[in-house]
Amino acid sequence: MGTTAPADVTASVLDALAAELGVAPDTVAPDAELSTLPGMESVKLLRIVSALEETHGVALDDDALFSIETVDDLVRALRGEPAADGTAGESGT
Amino acid sequence: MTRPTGAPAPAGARGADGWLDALHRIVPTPDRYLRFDTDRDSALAVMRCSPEVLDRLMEAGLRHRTEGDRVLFDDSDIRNVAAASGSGGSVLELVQRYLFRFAVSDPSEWTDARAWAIRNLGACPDDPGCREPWQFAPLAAGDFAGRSWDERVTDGPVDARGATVDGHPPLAEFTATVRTVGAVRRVRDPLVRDAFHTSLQEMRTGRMYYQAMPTELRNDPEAARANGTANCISVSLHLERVFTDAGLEARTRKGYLMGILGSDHSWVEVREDGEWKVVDPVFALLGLRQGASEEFVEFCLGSVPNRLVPCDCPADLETVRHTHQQSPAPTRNVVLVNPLKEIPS
Repeated sequence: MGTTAPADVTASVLDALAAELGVAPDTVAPDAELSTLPGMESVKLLRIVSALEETHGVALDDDALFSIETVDDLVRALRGEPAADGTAGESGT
Repeated sequence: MTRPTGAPAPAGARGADGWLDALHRIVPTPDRYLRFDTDRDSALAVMRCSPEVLDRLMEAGLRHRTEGDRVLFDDSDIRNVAAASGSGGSVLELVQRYLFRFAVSDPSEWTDARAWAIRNLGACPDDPGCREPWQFAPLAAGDFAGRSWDERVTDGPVDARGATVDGHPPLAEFTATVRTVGAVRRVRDPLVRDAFHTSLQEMRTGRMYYQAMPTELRNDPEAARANGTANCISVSLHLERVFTDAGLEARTRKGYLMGILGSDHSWVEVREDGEWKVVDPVFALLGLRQGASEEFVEFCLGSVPNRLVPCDCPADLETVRHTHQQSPAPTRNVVLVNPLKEIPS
């Protein structure tokens, strides 16, 4: 389990989105659907997830990955918190 | 020179050095199969590296041909350099890492019922406005006790919300909803078991380098083995021949691999105890690379994973086919998968 402070997870997610998509971090709403962000496609989403997993020292399991729809979902999954439907988060490092 | 094993470069080999090292670790496409049909934009879409890295690879010997103001590469060389780069961000590395993450989860998750929405997008590398026809193999989910709904082919421009197929605009698509469920089975026949383990060991040691190959090479298992390379199709066709030569009933299957990304896949099935059993050393190899246990390897020797969707597709054809004036034409395709939360009964 990573020891990253919760606030850092949100900031790191916004930074990763900005780096891959070229959007300004402060223009991304927490409840924004990732698939609707400008320039997003499935490979870019996995590049973002992969970079964040490395940053936080976690590996999201399949069900956690499948549950990610919004920016908040991604933050919750990286924190190891259950998704809105109760799906578990990370599966170790 | 590092001995090729087919395994990606060690994690952490980032930057241009990892890419340059990969160029010398792959088995280049043999000259007789070379096809310079991948342009620079498409290469970058597959590799997800910077243009500067691609320039350095060309300077270091990545084969290419210049036609006017276009630079063209061999598609398999591009994919193999990307897969071996250790960059962590190329398409093939992401596909392999995330599609096989389930292999390290609880074994119950290898077989439980799942539902997926699938899109197979086709593109023509020769002509972004091509109007020639497309065909997609229908699903045969029922062969694995699954079910499919709403199978549909759109032959014409596709609204993919900006998604491209290796940098090309999608020109046709196959869509469907499918329910999958796995089954635990075990192959007993010692000849089949030995052949599976031999094939897996060949790929793990690098005697057969697991990598992408041109269609003509991967459909000729003897030539692929002589070249020292293996992929899911060549391995399946080779094992089918080994099994049928021994008098066993066997067949090579084509289909889809489901996950957070999708992929085409091929495996061989052998009939034993009145049922077809999946024999898939490539599945075992890619699972082991993600840290799977020997239990997963044994699972790949007979069991049906809930990630496989078979197609009604001859072994020597692709799930997506495109023709120019009724002759087979090059295609590119990408399989997009959306896991569904509700599992239809």
